[in-house]
Parts: sequence; structure tokens; C-alpha cells
Amino acid sequence: MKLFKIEWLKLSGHPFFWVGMGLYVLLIIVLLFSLGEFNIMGQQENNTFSNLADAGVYDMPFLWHDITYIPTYLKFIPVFLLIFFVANEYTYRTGRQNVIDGLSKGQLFLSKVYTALFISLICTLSIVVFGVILAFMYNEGIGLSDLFIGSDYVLAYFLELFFLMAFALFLTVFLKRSAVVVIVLLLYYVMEAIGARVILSYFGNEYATLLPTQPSRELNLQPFTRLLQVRGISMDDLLDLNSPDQVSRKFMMLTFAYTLVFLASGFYIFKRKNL
Amino acid sequence: MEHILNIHNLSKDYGHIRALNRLSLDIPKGSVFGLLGPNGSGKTTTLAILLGILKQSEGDFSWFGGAFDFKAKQRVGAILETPNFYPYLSAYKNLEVVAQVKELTKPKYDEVLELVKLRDRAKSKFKTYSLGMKQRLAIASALLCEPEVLILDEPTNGLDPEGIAEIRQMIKDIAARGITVLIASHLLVEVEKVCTHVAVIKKGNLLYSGPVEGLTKDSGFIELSSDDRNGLKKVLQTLPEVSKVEEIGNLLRVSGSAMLNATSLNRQLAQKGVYLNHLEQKKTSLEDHFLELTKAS
Repeated sequence: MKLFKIEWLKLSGHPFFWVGMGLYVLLIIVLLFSLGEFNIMGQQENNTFSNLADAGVYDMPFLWHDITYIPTYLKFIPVFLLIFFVANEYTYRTGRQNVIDGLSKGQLFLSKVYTALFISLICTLSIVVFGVILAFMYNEGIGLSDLFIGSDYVLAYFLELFFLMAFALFLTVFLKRSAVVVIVLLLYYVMEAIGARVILSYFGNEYATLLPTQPSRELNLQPFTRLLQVRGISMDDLLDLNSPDQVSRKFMMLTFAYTLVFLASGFYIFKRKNL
Repeated sequence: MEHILNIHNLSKDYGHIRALNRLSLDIPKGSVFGLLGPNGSGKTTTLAILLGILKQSEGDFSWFGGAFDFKAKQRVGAILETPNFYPYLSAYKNLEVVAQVKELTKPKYDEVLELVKLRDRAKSKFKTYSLGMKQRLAIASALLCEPEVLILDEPTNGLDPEGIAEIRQMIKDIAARGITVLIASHLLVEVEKVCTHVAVIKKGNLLYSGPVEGLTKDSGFIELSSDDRNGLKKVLQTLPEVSKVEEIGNLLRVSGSAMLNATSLNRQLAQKGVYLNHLEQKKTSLEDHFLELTKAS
């Protein structure tokens, strides 16, 4: 609790924290509520729905899958916030001062893990809040227990975000400069996707998905094929991807395992490097 | 004498460069201890090790007879190199962070800010501060835990003369309250003006350690001349308290042990039949001595 209080002082005093989180929540609201207005089927001849809301994008049991898929495109906003605040401790040498003043290096690292956890939770919770609102808006006569249907996608969203946070934290204690970390992170993210494609074509998917960020990317696959199949529309020609009914348990475990690996190696590097 | 800090054979290697070589020191309780040396002599390295943010290669040290754990950290207020604060937070918020880290139950924010004359700017962001104000906030922050030991690293670096005078007065006031102060400085005048004890280091080697007066004690020299220059030189070289005779223009400069003084020299020379036409006892300034010390090794 002491560590979180210290982190809160550091976070809440900076406008970036409020701007970043505000921007994230605002975009979530805009994207989630306008999702139903889209008409991804365009002028196809078998188009029987005027828009996605009509097609049931907010209907149970699809709701959680649909509304956690869209925000995965926003996940770098909170991740950049974390990188900024951790790198600050190096730039201003305040992390070093914290250790002189009384924290151990382990505590200092742990406080950064708390920050990662805290930001991930806010992001996930904001989706949950708007998800519940949407659930009651578009589903007639549902009870509280119905809200949990398909909610494994919420956990998947959290796991993906927290994994990326752990990966970013690892890179930040290793590279120390926020600009460098951001560039390396994005570059790696793209390179790995290309690498995964190559491995996939030569060795198959089970090897490709062993790359560090792949399991997290396998958690939340696009929901539209699944949605529209139920409505009797084949989207195979439009979206050439599979669309599972539930989150893969295997990839959830793998994502969490990689999260732990990056936290542990981040801690190891942090302990050994000078502040 | 009671010591708050014992350092034993402390060494630090960066690759194959030895930044600190078997440093042993004891810091007496209640002293104002100056760690004096030119830039790059290993002062900050020493402090960084003592404050637990750098690992020593060899040797050990103990704070209050034990490890530098959380309990010990609560008794020490320290600033290393530049004042390190969150620039986007106010002085007050920055002190709040320190208070949380040190788990202070009743932090006296106003009192320490008053002491360093920052109370009316307490709500301004740190980044709006002048260098002097930053240094003063650093001292306030180090004093927040009512420490037994205050550690300052080049506290007057980059300040104007007025700022320097203010900080030095502040250090004296703090020492008067019984707080042990450890100052790293490359400025001899600074150490001379505020310190009771001094350790001189150069290239990681300890050259002198002890009371500040001790640094000047045996550093005097005597300049003399005689019409019988060769005779004078010959007799001087036979005297046991004389260790060095130099020719400076038409004067001879003699230095040696603490026994050396003008009266006895004059008497002994007269006894040997050498009469002087010039005799002057000079004291080297601490500055000269410091330069001499650091040059010699």
C-alpha cells in the first residue's frame, strides 16, 4: 500500500497521466458506442442488416468479444504512459533518490509493477463499465448473471494488456530512455508479426505462436465472422480468418507465463544495473 | 570516539579502471566531515557505495555499526550529485514522496521549508526553481526525516557567491544542532570553512585523513638567505628536522617536520657560525597544501 501511495503521488501529479487515461477512456466510449453504427457488409447482395448493432454486435453472448476486440487497437496508449513514467525515474534520477531515501531496489521495481497493474485495471474496468451499459441497452430482460456470459474475453483483454505492460517494463529497465523503448517496442511488435508469418509458413502455427508476443495476440481474434455466421451470413470471402467462440485457454496460460518471464527478467536486470 | 560510519578497505573497479582503492575511514559522530578531492577522484563513487546504489568491488562499511537497511536509511538524509526531484511536482509534493518513502509519521514540511527559505514557493513546481533553490530544497528534503547524518555532494556547485554563503551558513547551523555532516567537495575553501575533519582523496587513493588543522600543521616552510650561501646550505642539510632544501631565486626554502621553526633554526645556524641576512617563516595555505598533496601522488 505504501508503494502504491508513492506511485499515486508520482502519477497523479503529472498531466500526462490524466490526458493519457482520459484520451483512452474517451476513445473507448466513442469506439464502443459507434461500433453498432458500422456497416461492414457494405453493398453486398445478402446484406439483410442495416448496421452492426442490427446484426447483434451488442447482443449476448457476443458483446464482450466485440467490445474487447476494438480496444486492443488502443492498448499502446496506456503502455506508452507506463514507459514514460518508468523512464522518468531514470531521466530525473528520482529512482536513485528513492533508493537512497529508503526503498530497496526490489520495492522500487515492485512499485512499477503496481503501476502497470493499476493502469491495466483502469483500462479493463472502463470497458466493463461501458459493456454493462451496452448490455442493458441492447439486451432486453437480462439478469445480472447473464452479464458473465462470454466474459472470458474481458479477462483475455486484461491479460493481453498486462502482458504488454510487463514487456514494456522489461524494455524500459533495460534501455532506460522512453523514446528508445517506444521505437524498439513498436519495431519489435511489427518484426515479430512478420517473423511469425515466416515461421508459420515453414513450420506451422504451433511454432509461430511460441514467439513472445504471439500468444497475447491470439487471445482476441476478430469477432465478426463468428457473429455473422450465427446470422446465417458467410463472411469467409470478406474476412479470411477464423473466429473462435471462446478465448483459447492455452494462449491465456502462455500469455500469463510470458508476463511472468518478462517481469522476472526485468527484475533481474533492474537489480544488476546501476540506477 | 563514537563513529557513525566505518569504512574498511573499500574498492571499486570499473572494468580495469580502479575508481576507489582500499579506502578506510571512520566518520566521528558530530563531526563535519569533508571528503575532499579533485573532480573524478572517487568522491561520488564513495558516496554512491555508502548509500547503497553502487556495489563495491571489495571491502565493506557499516552504518551505526550495521547494514544500510531501511532503519539506517531513516536516520540518514542524503543528496547525491544534483538535486533529484520530480520536476512536474511542487516542492511540497516532492517532500511528500520522500516522507512516504521514509515512512515518516509527522513530517515537518513547513519547518524544513522555512529553514531553507522556500516556504513561500512551496507550491511552485520544482522545474521553475533556480539552481540555488533546487540545492536548498535538496537540503530541506534531506532534513525532513530529522536525520542523525546529513550527506551532501558538492552542495555549492554552480551557485553564485551569495548562494554559496547561504548554503555554508546553513551547513554550520545544521552541524550546531548536533547532526553529523558528510560533505563531498572539490573546493578546499569550502572544507576549510565548514569542516572539522577532512579526508583528501585523489584517483581513488586516500592521501590524508584527520582534523582539518592537521592538514596545515606540518605544512609551513622557512625562507632564508645568508652571505655565506654554500655554508648555509651545508649546515641546513645536517639538521635532522630539515627534510628538504630548495633554491628559490637567491633564497633557500626549507621544509621539514613539525619541530622546524625559525627560532631554533636561527640559533643552530649561529652556533655553527652561519649568520643570516634574511629569515622568514611562512605557512602554506591549505590550498597550496591540497594542490601539493594531490600533485605529489
